[in-house]
Amino acid sequence: MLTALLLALPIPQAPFDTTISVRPETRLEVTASAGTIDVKVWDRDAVRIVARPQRRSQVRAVLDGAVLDVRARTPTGGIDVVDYEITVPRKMNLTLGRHDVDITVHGTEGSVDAIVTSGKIVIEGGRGAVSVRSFQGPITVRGARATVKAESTMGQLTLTDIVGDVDATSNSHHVTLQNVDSRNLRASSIAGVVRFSGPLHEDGRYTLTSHSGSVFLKSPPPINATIDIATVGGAFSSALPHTVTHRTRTGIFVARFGNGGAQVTMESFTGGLVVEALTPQQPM
Amino acid sequence: MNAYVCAIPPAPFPGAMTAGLDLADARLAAAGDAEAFERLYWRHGARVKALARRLLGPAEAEDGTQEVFVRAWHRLDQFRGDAAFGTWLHRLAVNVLLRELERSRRHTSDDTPLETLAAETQPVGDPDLERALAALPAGLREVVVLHDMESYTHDEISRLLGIGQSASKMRLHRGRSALRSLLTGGERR
Amino acid sequence: MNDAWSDRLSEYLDGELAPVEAQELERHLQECEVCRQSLAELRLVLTRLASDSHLPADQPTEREWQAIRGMIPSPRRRWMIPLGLAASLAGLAIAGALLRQRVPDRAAIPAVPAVYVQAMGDLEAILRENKGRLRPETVKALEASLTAIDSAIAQAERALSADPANDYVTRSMGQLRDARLTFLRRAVAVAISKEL
Repeated sequence: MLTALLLALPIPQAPFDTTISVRPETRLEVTASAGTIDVKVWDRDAVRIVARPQRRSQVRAVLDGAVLDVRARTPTGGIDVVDYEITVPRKMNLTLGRHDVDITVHGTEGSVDAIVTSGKIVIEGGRGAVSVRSFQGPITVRGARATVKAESTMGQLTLTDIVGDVDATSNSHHVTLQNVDSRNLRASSIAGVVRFSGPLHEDGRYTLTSHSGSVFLKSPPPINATIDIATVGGAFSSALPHTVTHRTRTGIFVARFGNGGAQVTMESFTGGLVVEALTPQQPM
Repeated sequence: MNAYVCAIPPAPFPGAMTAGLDLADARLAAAGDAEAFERLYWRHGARVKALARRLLGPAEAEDGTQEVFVRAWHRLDQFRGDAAFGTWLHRLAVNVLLRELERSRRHTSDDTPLETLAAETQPVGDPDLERALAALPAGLREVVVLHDMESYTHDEISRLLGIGQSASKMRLHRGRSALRSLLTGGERR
Repeated sequence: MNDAWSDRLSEYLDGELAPVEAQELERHLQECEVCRQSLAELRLVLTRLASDSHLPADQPTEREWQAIRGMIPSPRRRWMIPLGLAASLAGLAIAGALLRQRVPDRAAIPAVPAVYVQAMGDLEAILRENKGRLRPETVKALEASLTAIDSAIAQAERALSADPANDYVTRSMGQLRDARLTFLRRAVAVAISKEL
């Protein structure tokens, strides 16, 4: 069933401001070529969209079945810079993107799928699934209770206070996972430093790799883990008691901590590999 | 869907800009890279489907398009890169679709009333033209489509269909004249 | 009504009559109402045929792609070196496992497949041609990233020639090449899709 609410405002200066009732299963989809998308939540069953285009765009908000589609069109078909402030129901699922856009989401309890070519992405909250990708630009995810997949080709990743499976990769920048509680985790970079702090569950699987950056693992004691270590020009170090076995060549061996419960892989071609105990007062 | 597979927006680009990208993706796809093939699909799918619609009608256009791409996947190692990928794909599409046209003609009775054919189709841009094309006798539709909608020359058409150039010209004229009758509704010869 | 010229009207419209014949036809048209009418109607048909452009229904769709995808057998990419046995074993939750197999040493360094080299070359060429469409800071960032990947690959190559049986290095090499290719593809896609 198509219910199209077409609200076009051809006057360039006046902001577009509309509030649309939605159902619980409605998903928000915002597609922007340039500008900013800022999403906040409230407890109403409605979505408020305030948009400020810089040029003569028509902003369209179309409710089509289960999707509320928001985008802007310029009369000539070119791109416009639009700043969106959108307030959504707390649990609404969000799909946001797509080109040179800065995206910020405050406190969502829905799933988030955000993609940009370049721009800064900050997601606070997230449930179920949080998937964030950028080609160029930093990504920050805080406070998600979700499966988190974050990928930035040329951008830094910072994931904090997460509960759930995590997959975080960057080509050239640092990947920092702080207070991440996961049983299935992968963090990798080529040139950046990879840092992970969080519990190591005995049935968990953790893979931390970089090529030239160092890899740091910090976990609350006691640490029970079997760590596959691989490096060529780097070095492994830990002040905690551990045993080294299965050494097949310099730089490739297994380091066992405690009862060896969690399965961990730490690899860095030329960087250092460090395992430390995380004490409560210790910042990352 | 991995969004970065479609980091290129789905809308078709001017051919010249994508030629280099096509070449790279065709080579990757020939080596088994399905993501590369998907990018080729998003770039060239519309043109193939339009051709399928023109040759086979809207009801068969989707099946025809899928056939073309599946055949293209298997033939990718024959793409030399000396012509544009779009051109190569188009030629392959014409071959596949003409064969489909042949096959569907064998299975359709010539007595199929025009109204039935019309009822099977989905809404298109020019329904009268669609119905008229569908009503053309065998052998005429493809020449009209290839020459007047896809800009093939009689030389190329004669080689594709295995007929002489004068036969191609004759079929073209007869096809156009038949369309003229069907569209104007008058009695002409 | 048929006359000698009515069957040649299409050729005339397409400019395929010899100049002498065309002149004769034009003289005939001055006298023949029927042929003039036919010619006009044929022109209308041509216009209508030529007006058929891409419809919304012609656009590619995700559903259609999935149908195609289901019909093409796709092996994994041929230059991806399979992950070592140790990595796959480690994926199993073997609580308290003591003895674990390390991966058997690989026999030979895999040669770089020609198709990979070609794709890389093509992508680099396109990126060079289209760099001007990107902002200068993006170009700088791209080049820095590519330099980082390239020096990583160079390191891996040196390590591999010093220690060809090192499975970690072999695996890293495959991953780095893959990452380089993916990086170039994305960079090219961004460069080409930039609206000026």
